[in-house]
Amino acid sequence: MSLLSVKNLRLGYGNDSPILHDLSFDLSAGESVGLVGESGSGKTQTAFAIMGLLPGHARLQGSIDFEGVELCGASAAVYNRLRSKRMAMVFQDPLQALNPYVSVGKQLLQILLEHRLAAGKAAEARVLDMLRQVGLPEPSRQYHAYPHQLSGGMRQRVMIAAALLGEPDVLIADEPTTALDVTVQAQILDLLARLKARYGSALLLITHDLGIVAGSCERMLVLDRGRLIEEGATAAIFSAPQAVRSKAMLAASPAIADIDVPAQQVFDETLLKVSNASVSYFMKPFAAVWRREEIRAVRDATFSVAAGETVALVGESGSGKTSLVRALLGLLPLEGGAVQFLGATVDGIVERRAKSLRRDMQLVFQDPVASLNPSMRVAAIVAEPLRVHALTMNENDRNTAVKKMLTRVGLPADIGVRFPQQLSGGQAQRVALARAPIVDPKLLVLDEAVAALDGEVRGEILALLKKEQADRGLALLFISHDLSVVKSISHRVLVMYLGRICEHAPSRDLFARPRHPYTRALLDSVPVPDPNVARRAPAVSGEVASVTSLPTGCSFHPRCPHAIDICRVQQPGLQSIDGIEVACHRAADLTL
Amino acid sequence: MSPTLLALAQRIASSRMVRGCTIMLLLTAVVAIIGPLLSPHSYQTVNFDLRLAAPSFGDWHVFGTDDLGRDLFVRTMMGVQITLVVAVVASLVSLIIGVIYGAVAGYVGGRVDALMMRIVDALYALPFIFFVILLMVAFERNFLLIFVAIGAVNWLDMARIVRGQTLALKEREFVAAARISGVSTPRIIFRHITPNLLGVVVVYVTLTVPQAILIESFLSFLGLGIQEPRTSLGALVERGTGQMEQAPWVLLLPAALLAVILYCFNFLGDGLRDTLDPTERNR
Amino acid sequence: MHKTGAIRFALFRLLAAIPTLLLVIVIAFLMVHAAPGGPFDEERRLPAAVEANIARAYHLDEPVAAQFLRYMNGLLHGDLGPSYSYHDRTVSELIAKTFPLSLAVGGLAMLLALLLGISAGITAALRNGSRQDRIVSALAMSGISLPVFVIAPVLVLFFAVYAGVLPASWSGGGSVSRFILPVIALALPQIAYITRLTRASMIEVLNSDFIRTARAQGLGTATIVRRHALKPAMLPLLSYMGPAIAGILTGSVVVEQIFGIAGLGQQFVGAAVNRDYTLVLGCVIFYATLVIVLNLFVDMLYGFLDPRIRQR
Repeated sequence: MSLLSVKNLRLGYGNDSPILHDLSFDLSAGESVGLVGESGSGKTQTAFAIMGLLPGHARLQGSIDFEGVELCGASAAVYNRLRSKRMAMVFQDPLQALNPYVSVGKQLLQILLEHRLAAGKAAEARVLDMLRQVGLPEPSRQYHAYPHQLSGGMRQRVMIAAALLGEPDVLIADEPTTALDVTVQAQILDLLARLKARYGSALLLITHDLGIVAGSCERMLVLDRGRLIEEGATAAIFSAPQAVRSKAMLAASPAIADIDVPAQQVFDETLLKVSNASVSYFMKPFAAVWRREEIRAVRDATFSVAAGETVALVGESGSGKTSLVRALLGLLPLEGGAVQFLGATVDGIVERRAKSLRRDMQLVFQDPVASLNPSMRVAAIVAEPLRVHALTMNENDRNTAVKKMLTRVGLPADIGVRFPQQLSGGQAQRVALARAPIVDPKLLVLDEAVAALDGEVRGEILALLKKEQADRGLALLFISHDLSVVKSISHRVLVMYLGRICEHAPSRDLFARPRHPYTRALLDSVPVPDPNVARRAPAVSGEVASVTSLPTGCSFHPRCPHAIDICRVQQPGLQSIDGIEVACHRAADLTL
Repeated sequence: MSPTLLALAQRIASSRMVRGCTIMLLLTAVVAIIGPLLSPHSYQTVNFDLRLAAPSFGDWHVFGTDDLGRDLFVRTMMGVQITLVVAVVASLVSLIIGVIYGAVAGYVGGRVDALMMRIVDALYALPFIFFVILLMVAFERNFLLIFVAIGAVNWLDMARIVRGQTLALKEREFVAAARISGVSTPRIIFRHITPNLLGVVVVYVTLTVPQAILIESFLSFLGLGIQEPRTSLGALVERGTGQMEQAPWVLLLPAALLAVILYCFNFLGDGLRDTLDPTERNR
Repeated sequence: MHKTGAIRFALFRLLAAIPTLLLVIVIAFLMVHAAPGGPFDEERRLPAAVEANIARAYHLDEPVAAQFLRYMNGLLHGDLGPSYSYHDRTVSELIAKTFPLSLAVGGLAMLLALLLGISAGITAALRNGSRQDRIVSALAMSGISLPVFVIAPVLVLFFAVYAGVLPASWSGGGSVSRFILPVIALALPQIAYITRLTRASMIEVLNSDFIRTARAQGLGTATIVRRHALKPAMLPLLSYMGPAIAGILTGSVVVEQIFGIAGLGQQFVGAAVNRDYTLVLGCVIFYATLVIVLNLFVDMLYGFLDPRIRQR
């Protein structure tokens, strides 16, 4: 007997083409179903349709049956009898989804009071109990906290507490871990699974990550551009996908263990040499008057990049990887240490650097749309570095070069007349990838350059990068939090934690045998897209400490399962073991 | 055409009310210029035999006459002309001061920005209108002074908005991308920052004009603005107030025209602002 | 919670207000001194000895810096100096006499504007896109397009001249009825501004993600507005209070003129026309202090209401 039954659901806005086409599926009591698809496939819209959260001008047709109650076109009163008590939802970004003006406890308390689930002291006790169940430390203190005072993971725990307070039969979780660090993601998925079992709720888990579905859902639904293209047991779909698009999606997200590292090569021509680099910047706390807090973003980073080589910089939020890159490029001042590029010392802000050096080091940003000037046409954007660096080039040659470059990155040449707003995410990133290498730089820095892209497009962009590298001997400095991407493209990997390099190793060694407990934790936190592999317990507890109050000793010790006394007091230096550099007091005696 | 201007133009074309207001303003301006030329009357000819005459088409006193028997249509159209000229010029004054001040503060940043913005904050706290009154009383009245006075009041908003936009744009990744590509600072300001300020500036000028009209007519109403025999809508309303019991049209006609002009500018500015700020639009 | 943070915040705001006030005084003082002519110019030419006596009596023979210091010293003791045109009266006395009337009219108008503006704004926002919303929005747009000096005479024309139900001037009315038209005239534009602001900020808040969460939790509209939306939606209104107070002050100059109310606004215009510079200077400084103090109060209220400012 299904709890929730969606039949022939269609959704559209105005005269635009429909967002959902004839969607039908069932959800039974207690089961876990994954709803997967790429961005824009209509996953979130489906959830909003079920919860009655679509905007007023949405045109919804079909049927949403919740145990005999028709929800399609139902009034708010009908919905409010079900919400919280029968169905609840966890949203993607807990910072946006929680009210910043109301304390956490009060937000939860209102749910109980509104639905008359409890009153007075009993209600408060129940809220405290729920906060304890979701693992909030010191619940009676955090009860009075405002969302901005909590970390990302804690906020999502509060969000889950709010959703489960009414003990709903159906819990919809919309990308509940996308806004979180990978080590925290594992904790939240674990919590969801435990509490779902405890309250006997059915779970509709919306995600773009097939690894999450494989580990958390018995059944899955595959959505593609508003159509349900495949439905069935997760194991069955993973082993034998039927729809073409499901096959492609599965092929685009292999298990990290199955990804091959690029062939080991010897690179001898050093391009970039960073020695003991430190970067700090000042941040004014919200509403502070004179006080500025110094953020020690990067400490003592030492590494090099050779011509033709790909070096990856890996870390979670607060790791300092972005600050390091900004300092290398001259967008932030270097506080200490030295950077040598092509044998010359580079320091200071980018405007003070020699023009040739600026030409030889180019950057591709994370958000392709934000990195393209909205008031310039694509052709002008791509041509701009040529205007600066190839002064002898005339208009015609420039146009030819631009056209050639656009074709090379797989874009139609006539795209040059468009403005960035008229491009899709993948197209915009290709434009950014056409602009950076057009002046033939020697080093390309990629700051989370593929993070915003869906699986297949990401694969194509990565292939393009490898081709550029093979053709021109381009060196890549690749910044990412995504270990699968890193494994497929990099020759060497630097792992950073709270501003320090904690492990520096050739990819092959790092992925086969990590030496630092943090690297191990990162690897173990990546969801495995294989339903036959049981989801592992969270590799580490806790979250990354605040950059404004670093722990003493080794920054990782509060979360490290192997920490000993010395870790709490003394900062470990990088030591070399079998050609691998690792900053851990126990590197020699631990086998991870 | 840049995409922002294109979007603004499309906005005017697509919304019936915004288009209506634009047409109405253009029409008013045209009638205000041509009307007095076609009328047989002059704005300053006094006719004591025909004081406070009701509107009639017989002798072309379509708006009637005022307490000195002067033709109210020609005087009202002159009022519209002067009101519009004062408002547009004053807005340009505030635009120039505001954009330069805001862009400099925003792009230079740091302590310079902090100091410049503290000055703006301080000026905001002043009851500026009283300074304008002081200014108008203390110095010889002349046309130029009105522009300066109004512009001096209105530039603060523009400076704040432009500075905020510049700060935001400066942090945008495309500016960083240009810097890394080796683009020079002047070229960044002119190619990357200024074109993206354009939309905001256009919209806020549209909203500054009605404010300038308000201040001008306020001064004229207090007898501190334009001097007889020339007139503006504010001065006409002031004169009309004295006569309203015997001849309400002397008050109501200029007052209605003033309200319509203000309404159209406000509506136009509002409509254009919606194109820049999509949050207001999604209903 | 961090009480000291709140106190430090308030203290800083207080300190920051002092240079602003000082700047106002200096600008006003210098402008008045740069102005050509004085109150005694218009009268027939006085003998040089008399003129010198007058100048000495008002300390006009001293250098500007000395005059300024003397003025500041008086100011610190609450003394704004003697009036030029009202003989034997000090500026402080004149302000103390006329201000309460302006405060009563202005305060009532502000109260009315807040009451009507906020309720109309919230109503329109909750029915966003409906006919009521469009009517409220159109009325509010008309309201900001009708200056006080247009509304006031038109109100008088219809309610006093034609209908005859309300007094046309201050002196001709009863103790309550004479307040009605001036207060309405003064309040109307502010009602329009506050309605628009409340509506816009309420719509923005209602569209935010955390309101969607509240809806997903099954909270009713009343609870959502009261417990989740009201506070954030009112914060922009708080920031508007500064300009609103300035608007009421400006409007009161016109309204007092039209209705013949012997308030501070009329006194100020009169002083300006008569070139009674000490009175003008006193009024400007008084107004500026009022605006700055009220802004300070609003700032502190803001800090108190927004938890992100309150706790750091």
